[in-house]
Amino acid sequence: MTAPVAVSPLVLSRRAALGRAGCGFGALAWAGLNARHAAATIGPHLPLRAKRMIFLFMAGGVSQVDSFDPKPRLTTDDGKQMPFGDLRSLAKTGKSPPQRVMKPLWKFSRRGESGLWVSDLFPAMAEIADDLCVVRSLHTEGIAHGPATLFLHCGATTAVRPSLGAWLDYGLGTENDDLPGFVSLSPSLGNGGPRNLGTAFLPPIHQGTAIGRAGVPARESGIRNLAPSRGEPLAAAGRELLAGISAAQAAERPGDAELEAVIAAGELAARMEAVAPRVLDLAGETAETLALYGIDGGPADNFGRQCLLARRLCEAGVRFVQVNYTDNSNNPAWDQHSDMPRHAVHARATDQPVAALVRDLKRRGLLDDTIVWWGSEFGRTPYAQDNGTGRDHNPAGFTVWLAGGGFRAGHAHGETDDYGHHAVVDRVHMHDLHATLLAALGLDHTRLTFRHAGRDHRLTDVAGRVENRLFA
Amino acid sequence: MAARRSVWSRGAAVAAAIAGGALWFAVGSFPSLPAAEPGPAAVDEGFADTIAPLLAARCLACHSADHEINGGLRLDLRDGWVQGGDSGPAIVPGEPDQSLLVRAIRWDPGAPQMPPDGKLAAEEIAIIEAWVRRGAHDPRGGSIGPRSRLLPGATKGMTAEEGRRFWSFAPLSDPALPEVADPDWNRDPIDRFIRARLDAAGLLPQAEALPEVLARRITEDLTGLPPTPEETDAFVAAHARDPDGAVAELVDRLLADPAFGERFGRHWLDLARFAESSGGGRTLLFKDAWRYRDWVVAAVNADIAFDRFVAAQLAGDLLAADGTADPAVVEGNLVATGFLALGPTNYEEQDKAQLRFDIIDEQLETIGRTFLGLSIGCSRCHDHPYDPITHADYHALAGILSSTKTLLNETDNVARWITRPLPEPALIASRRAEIDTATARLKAERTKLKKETADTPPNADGVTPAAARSAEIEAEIGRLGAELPPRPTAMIVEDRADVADTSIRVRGIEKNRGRVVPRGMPEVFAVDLAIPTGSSGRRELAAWIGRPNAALPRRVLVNRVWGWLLGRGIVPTVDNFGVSGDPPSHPELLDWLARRFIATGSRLKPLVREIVLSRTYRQAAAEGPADGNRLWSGAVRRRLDAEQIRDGLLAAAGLLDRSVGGLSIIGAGDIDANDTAAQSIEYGYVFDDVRRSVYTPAFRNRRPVLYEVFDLADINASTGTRTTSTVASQALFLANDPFVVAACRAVAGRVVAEAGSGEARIERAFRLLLARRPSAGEREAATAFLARTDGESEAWSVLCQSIVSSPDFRFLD
Repeated sequence: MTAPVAVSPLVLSRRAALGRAGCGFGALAWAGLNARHAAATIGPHLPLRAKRMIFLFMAGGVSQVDSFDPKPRLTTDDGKQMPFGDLRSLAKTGKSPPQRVMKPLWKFSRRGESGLWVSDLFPAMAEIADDLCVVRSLHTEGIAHGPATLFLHCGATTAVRPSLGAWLDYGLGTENDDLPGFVSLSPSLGNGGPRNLGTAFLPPIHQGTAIGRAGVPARESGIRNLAPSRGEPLAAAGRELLAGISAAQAAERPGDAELEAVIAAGELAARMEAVAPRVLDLAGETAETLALYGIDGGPADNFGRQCLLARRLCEAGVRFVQVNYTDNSNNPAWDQHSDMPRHAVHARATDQPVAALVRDLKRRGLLDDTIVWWGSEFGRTPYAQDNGTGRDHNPAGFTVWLAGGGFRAGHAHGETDDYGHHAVVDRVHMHDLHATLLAALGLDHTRLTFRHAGRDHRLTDVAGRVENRLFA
Repeated sequence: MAARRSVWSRGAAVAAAIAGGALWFAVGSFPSLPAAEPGPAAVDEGFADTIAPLLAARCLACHSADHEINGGLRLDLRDGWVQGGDSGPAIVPGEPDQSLLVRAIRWDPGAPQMPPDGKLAAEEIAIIEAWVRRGAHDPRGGSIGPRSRLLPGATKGMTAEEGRRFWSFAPLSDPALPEVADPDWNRDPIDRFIRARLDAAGLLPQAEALPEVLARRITEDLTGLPPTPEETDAFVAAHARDPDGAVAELVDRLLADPAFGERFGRHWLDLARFAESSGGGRTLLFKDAWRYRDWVVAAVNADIAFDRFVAAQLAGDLLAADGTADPAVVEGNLVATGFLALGPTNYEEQDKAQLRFDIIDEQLETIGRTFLGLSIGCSRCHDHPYDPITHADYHALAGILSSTKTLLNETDNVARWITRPLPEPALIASRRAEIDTATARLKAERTKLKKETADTPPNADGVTPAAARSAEIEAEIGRLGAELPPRPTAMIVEDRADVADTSIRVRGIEKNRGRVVPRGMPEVFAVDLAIPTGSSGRRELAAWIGRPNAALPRRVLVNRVWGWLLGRGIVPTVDNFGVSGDPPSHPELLDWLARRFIATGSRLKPLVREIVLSRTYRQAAAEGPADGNRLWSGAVRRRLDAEQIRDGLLAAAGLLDRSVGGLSIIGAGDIDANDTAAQSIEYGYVFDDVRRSVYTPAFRNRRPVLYEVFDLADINASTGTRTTSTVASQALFLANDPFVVAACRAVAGRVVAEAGSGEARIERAFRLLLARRPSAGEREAATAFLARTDGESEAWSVLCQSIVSSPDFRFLD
């Protein structure tokens, strides 16, 4: 039985909305109703080297001296007790006892045509060495995970500040009408938790959207509340009813912008309901692609799914995707305080998917304007913690790499000292890395500001320097 | 040359390459320098050959008049390092170990690491050390000019004198009440101020809102809950007889309802950045924070005077034993002190001196925003760029908090806050003492038995007598331990034993100490707190904020109350009464309200009553955009906040549990909050209670979805106005979240049970959810839907959910 229902032209059923979406109506007038478009008016300030970014977050702290920063002195001096100026001891007591030098656990070799050093810890990444711009002279703030993880994401150890992704969404807006502009895959609740994808004082619309959370398998993760609560045809009747009620309310208040915005947000939600499940579904990928990412039930299966999803989200127009290799503990994945060989477990889970992502983006022609950033909140010490079998945190010198997005491929930038402890040559502070990443995406970090509590804030606070030598 | 080069580290080679050939030569010539004190000519030559090129290569880009003068330090002339930068002279001739420049290039602990882009080679450091040891002879002339130009301290914002004339700092004025022509608007002082401005602008106010609109507005504003259909009916009937009397009666009833304290207490909890875990890096459970929340709700309901409200939160620990024997007051004062302790502290920070100062900064920023409407935090690093708060003023206040102990100690790897046992009724206290004594005795016996066990042979059953007794002891300890609930404790702060003024942190860097500043209020307030010896000054700070003649805190508070009721402050930037904030739209009204507040005992309820009874408040919603309504020519249409949406839904569903106060985090009763198990409580928490939202566990790292999507206040910072966003995730939440679906099923159950015909049920659904009857258009849409879904068991819940998803559910006219 059908009865006539009054439907305002403002109020679209999902079917009608999809029909319009199919015709590519993104530029139509309703953009004016869409707060996302209205909000993004800041950038770009600079020529774009890249349009989007994927950050592969290796939570806990990958050891640079076991992966990308070879230090022969560690082998020759292995076992020696030496004064290192341990940052944790210094921060607490102002003193530092001697430490035992610990050699790398994996063999280093030169790789590819570039001859970049990569250890056997990461055999798959070794094969894409010629695509990597390895920064060996990073240093950052925060000796413990919480402060350093917050600094990595928000540029501040303690003060509550917007995350990098929120700044990007605020600065550049979204590239698509059906999905959020900033997505974080399986983020942790720990070490800053939601602040690492939060907006602090930026408008909430720039908040990162979490898909899944740490500890939940990627295959079970989705966008919250995307699954319809009721089946058809009841759901369709409900949409008609909502449209009718909303139209009646709109008729009482012609021209009420807030009311129209509520209706428009409802339409966007309906499009997300239709579009997002298709993006999140890996079923359409070929067997070859699944195998490339290690999606075979083996140790790389979970992170492989996350990396593949990151590629799909980028293709769908998401500006910034963070892929988290983490958990909810205080000592996340890579945090090998007492058992360095466990790095191999995490390498087996991530190495193949990470390399696959770079290869896949490259063969699809996406790597040129997509930045892939791999790294941790800090590195690890070149000496054994408490003279045991693990390494402690080291924010003074560590390695990250960048691929694609106009970065110099097959290149190593900067140096740590002879033991890989402190960055000493061509140092790049985390603020500098943030400034450089923003620059690659067309944003001047000194002009990407937001006024809050009486002053203009930036991701880089009062610091940061674009390291142009990282660009090709 | 080649041979000498081979002993260099690669760092030196790179530095040399940057400096170019001159440095090669210069460093290469180092060994030829005379070791003894040389004559002037030789010194100059050594400087030019060795030191000058090094400075040029590695220092001058950031420390010279030609480039930048970072940290106020110039190294392009002798006077530059003699005078030094922000941190004082850079070189002490003859004393390399006391020369900051030398310590910086060595990257000594506690010194800045210079140059920041890469350490000098060991040989280069040795050259500079040797030069300083020999007396740091430097032939370069010239003067850097007056030092003040380079140092923070020169005020860039307003001076204190200018500040005292700025509207927010000036004494309260005593404005005359304007006369307005409309007699209805000439009765109430608030209305006279508002109407006079409307008349002057040639604008007319709106008529009084419809009674059912007023019933919903007043009930939501004062309690955060919707009126029931029966309450609305009663009000509408009373309003028909006597509009003013009906409003007054409703307001008085609601002010006496515990829900008022829950609603206005919630506003205060936003300002107090109230949370039940620390968030930050490693989140820790604040298991006692609920007591602070309950104290706020109770204090609002009891309508305690503002000065007491402030004093308890800033200095309750000091007041606790003062002049009262009432244990409830003593306990309340201790609990209220939690205000200073429950910030988003990063307890994991390894540099505990830094952590201490970060906590002080967070406390100052919270106090500044909450009570003074100022961002004091801006002055941590330098003078405030606009407001009359200097770098020194900041540290005058910081001294009060650095004399306050917020961390239990400064040695724990993961720090912790301070808890203090609360007083218990005498009967329980004496029983607890007995239990403690008995338990201690049993434990001693257990220890003794353990020693004996080894020596005693087992009996026939293979059990030693000692083991049998041990089992008895364990059982007894367990029984005693379970007899009483855990000892109640509160999060507090307390005065330190080493109360002292603190020194300026130059550029906000903790280890970069400048001169010591006496504790006190910023100069602009022109007040001597007269802090007694041995006291932090918190009590005096609180007393000043609570003083009736302290104009700024009064203005800030009455403006907040106005904003909570009318949707926008008279000063729209409710947390910013400084130069960069908005000026008041009605300065005379603001001052009148502040005076009125003082005259009625600095109590909240009379002020709320006064505002709600005004014609200004009772107007119908303004037409057109809200920012075109700066003069209140109509009510400001507002979106319900997250708590109102949740509580309203639960109330309509008949599910809302109205019990007031108490522990809200299940499992948190007796846990050591520094235990990782406490984190598991937060991360794994299932939010399934049906109590009012103010009692929902307020974790910093985990919030119910509803609160996230409907813009709960930033739980990490003092917040006077919430943002309201309109985003797709709200629509998805209302359409698909299991909480909404379940609540709507319950509403539908009520609708079907409480009304008979389809028509009556439609009306009941709208009245339960929107506190009004459906319009013709809404009724038509609902009727069509029901016809289409005839016989569908879920139809009524879908109908209810469509009402919940419609714009009017979330907006308050």
